[in-house]
Amino acid sequence: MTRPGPRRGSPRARGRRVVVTGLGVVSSLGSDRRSFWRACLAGESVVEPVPEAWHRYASLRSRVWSPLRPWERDTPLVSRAEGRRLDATSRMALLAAEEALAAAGLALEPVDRKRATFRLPQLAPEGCGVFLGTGVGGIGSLLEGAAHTMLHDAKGRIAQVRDALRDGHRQALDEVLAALPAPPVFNPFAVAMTMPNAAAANLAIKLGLHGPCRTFACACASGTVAIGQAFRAVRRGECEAAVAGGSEHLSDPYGAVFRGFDAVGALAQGPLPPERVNRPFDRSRSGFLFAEGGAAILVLEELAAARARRAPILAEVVGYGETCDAHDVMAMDPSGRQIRRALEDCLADAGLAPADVGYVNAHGTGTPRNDPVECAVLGEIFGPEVPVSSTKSLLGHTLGASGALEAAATALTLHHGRAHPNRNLDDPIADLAFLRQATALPVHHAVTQSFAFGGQNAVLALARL
Amino acid sequence: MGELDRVEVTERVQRILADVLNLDQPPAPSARLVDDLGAESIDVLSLIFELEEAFGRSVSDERIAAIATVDDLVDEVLRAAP
Repeated sequence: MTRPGPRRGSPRARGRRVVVTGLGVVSSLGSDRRSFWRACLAGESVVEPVPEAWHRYASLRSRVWSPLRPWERDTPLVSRAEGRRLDATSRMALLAAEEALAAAGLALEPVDRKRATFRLPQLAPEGCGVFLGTGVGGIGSLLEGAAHTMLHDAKGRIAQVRDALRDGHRQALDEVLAALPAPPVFNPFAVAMTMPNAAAANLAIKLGLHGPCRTFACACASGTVAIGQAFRAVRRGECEAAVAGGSEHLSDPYGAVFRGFDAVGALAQGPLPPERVNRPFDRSRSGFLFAEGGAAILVLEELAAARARRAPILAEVVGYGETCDAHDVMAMDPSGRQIRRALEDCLADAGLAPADVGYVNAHGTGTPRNDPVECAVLGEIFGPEVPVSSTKSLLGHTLGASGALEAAATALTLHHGRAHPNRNLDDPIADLAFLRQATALPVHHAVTQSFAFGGQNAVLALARL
Repeated sequence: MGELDRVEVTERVQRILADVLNLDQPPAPSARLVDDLGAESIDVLSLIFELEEAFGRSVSDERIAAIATVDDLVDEVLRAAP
């Protein structure tokens, strides 16, 4: 059985301890922590055909995605007009942060009504940092601005030609115009919406946080790296607290982001019904399920400070490991050598032996190449007994948000003592203890890991307090 | 968009200003954008964007910067070419 508490001599035993005191979520399975976790335990997944319009622009191999349900809600952090100045990546991060801060018992005190800015009176603003991961930043805003720039004048000219034609000849040009969606007005905030550090900057501005404000663009590992670096910053005393996580919004009117992944054969496809096509760790897997987006924000605090203000504690972050394959920008190193090293570094950082770990939240994309490498490493380090599941089997892949959503799922697993199933796993590719249903798992330690396009590998170890 | 009705334009401009400046109520037509309503340069950018989208007319940012009151803003929208 696993044991709580750091081993003598480990970094965790020597330094300050870091705990998760709040957590907020925006996802296709629910835009708050409770509905998200309920749906995870029920093994639910939202899988639908991609928007019909996307088929105008390309012959797509994958035809399904995981769209978000309506997720916008009124929040004091975003004023009415700001909805037009902030990319969805920022808006989702702010909503998740609002939930996380409320859960942590950190009140928002208004500062400037017009700018809808606040402060957190229970935390020293200079001691609180923002650490946010995103894979592509405000790419939707970039594409919309580009579409306006390229198409606005051309569409006006086409419309003039159309108007000069007889009725019977207008239809073809109407169809051309309909296939060229572009905003009628150029959004003057295009740069401020597109830049990858916008979401982190908006969190700092809205919450009045003057500590380090960092953005981690490490593709699929971004959220994990952000939380790992926040953990290190709080542990070494660079920050007293951190707002950390990931946010991503991948939808655009043209399906351009989707096509980028589809073109390289990375996405789930094939003859299976949509709800069965996303199959991490199954022999009939075909790629990952493209998700519209999501966000997860964690509040990290130093343990003694959290206890002093009687904050609720969901879990402790006890270790972090980070390596790079330096192999290929898209393909994982098949040897798994650097994934193994990231895991071993994380366990050493936490002062844990492999046998101490009671649950692995896997990267588990469902791509033909990645899953066997991950399974081989997990088998080598943990053996066949440790329970494993992939949150991407439920949510699909939210790229820069995925690591944060999976860290959230791992913290909730430890907090509630239950783990979610690995969906659509009928014929596993490896002899590991994959969870097929929600399972009572009263364990003390868990790891969650992410591996990126680019080769970045990041592993977090969490503990139940 | 063809001829614009002044009353309707005034109401829409007031609504847009309330959103952009996060006001509880639509501002009075005589309210001064900077002195009374606290508009800053970023608000002017937002304002131009929202007005152009709402009315389909190109509004000059130089003229907006010189505008004093809500009523002056309505005049500018009515004067702008469709």
